[in-house]
Amino acid sequence: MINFLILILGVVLAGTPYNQKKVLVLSDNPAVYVSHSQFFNLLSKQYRVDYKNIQSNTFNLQLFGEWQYDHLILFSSTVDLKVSMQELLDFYDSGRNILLLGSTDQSKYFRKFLNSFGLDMHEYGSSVVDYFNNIKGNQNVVTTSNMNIVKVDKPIAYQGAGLSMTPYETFQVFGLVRGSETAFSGPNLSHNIIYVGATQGRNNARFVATGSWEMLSDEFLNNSNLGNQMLAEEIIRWGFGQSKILKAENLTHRRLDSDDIKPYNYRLREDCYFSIDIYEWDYQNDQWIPYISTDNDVLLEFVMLDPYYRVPLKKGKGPKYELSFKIPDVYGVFQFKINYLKPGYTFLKVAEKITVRPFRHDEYGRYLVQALPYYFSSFGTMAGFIVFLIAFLLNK
Amino acid sequence: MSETKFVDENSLIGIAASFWQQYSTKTPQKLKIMDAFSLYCFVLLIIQLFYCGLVGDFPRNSFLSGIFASGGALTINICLRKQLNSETRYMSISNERAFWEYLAAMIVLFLTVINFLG
Repeated sequence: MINFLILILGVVLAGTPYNQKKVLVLSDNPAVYVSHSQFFNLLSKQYRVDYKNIQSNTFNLQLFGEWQYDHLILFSSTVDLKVSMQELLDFYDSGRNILLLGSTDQSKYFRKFLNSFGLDMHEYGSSVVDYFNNIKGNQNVVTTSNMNIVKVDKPIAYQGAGLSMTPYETFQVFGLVRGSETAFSGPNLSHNIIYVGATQGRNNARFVATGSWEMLSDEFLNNSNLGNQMLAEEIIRWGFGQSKILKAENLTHRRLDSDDIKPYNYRLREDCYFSIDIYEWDYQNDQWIPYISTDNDVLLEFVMLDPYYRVPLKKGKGPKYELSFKIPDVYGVFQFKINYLKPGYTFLKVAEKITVRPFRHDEYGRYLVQALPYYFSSFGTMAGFIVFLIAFLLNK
Repeated sequence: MSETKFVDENSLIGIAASFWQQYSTKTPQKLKIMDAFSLYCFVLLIIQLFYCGLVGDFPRNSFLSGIFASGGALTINICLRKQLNSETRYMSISNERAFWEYLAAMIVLFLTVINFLG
């Protein structure tokens, strides 16, 4: 009876705020609660939001070794945080996401914090200037349409400092929103500015940073000519782990002509069939749906110290990605490896070990035409031996 | 009266001719049969090596068993021939015992060859 009541209670409370993730918003300036009210409305629909002042002592990120919050939003300020940078990095290492909204005059603390994620902010006091793509001729409020991974169809507005990173994108650090070609940031002109940069760690925790907290303010979100509203939604979704999340499960491998899954060992030059299910999280319907890779880029590696194969998996029915191939002419302990590092998606790393044995001595080809002389000679020797015996023993 | 000699005894052909004459007159019949079998095995061995040199030794197991059959039979035959001669025999084993050992060795050889022939 008690179990039944607990079950009912659990079902009722599952959709209510008691089950939602907690977000901590730290800011220095209470004016942001007014100027970003729409953004916080968006947040509150799905998360339990706690608003705390940066300088206050009333919050703990960690209490007795347990993290109290699931996500973190930092509005940068001119003063340092009470929380140490090491604790923030530990928060990120534990798999929790951080969103950093910067400004042109943020302190060194936040600049160094950005540096640990591979991003860098332009000089103190500088802001992005664009004389061509801007709003109402004000060259400080710039617009851009140059977006990756989080895509909105209208240009977005930006006002603040720019970020930069290495000239190439790696699989971990990438620019979500980049400046248009005519934007630059003084005093040294730098093109290729990043407005919103992101880093996804190997533990799949996401860090999103932007140099302008005005980008998410009500003034831009309410403007229906701009895409800032949708960008805010996309950033919340991607940054807090709701969109572009992948999961791989149900790895099976078997011989091509048999049905036992994961046999004890394989033999050289046997046909092998490998399949895996890859799902993507669908945040609209709260379920896992099959992942569809756009350009055939889920690669399977068949590795023993060096990859003997590195082939793209074929899309099967539903979530299945499968491949049949011939095991190479080498025996040993191999691994099936999938190392799917697509920027913007969670990293899929799967490895499964199999053994490949050489031929048993009765598994070599039989009755080969090529070996006829050897067959003839063996049986010929025996026949000759018998003839010899007869002649030898019957001779006087 | 000495026989007329048609070839010079010290040349290579002379050595071969005198060897052949001595061999065919002096050795007993049984040893000649044994030698015939040895020659047969040797010829088979050469043929197989020639074939392997042409085509390569693809079914490695078959190649080994073919070579081993002919070469091994050759070796065992030569061993028996050594045993039967009192000057060159190994220990003082009687002829019958040598023959039984010969038979046992050949049986083991052929079992191995058939097993490995593949």
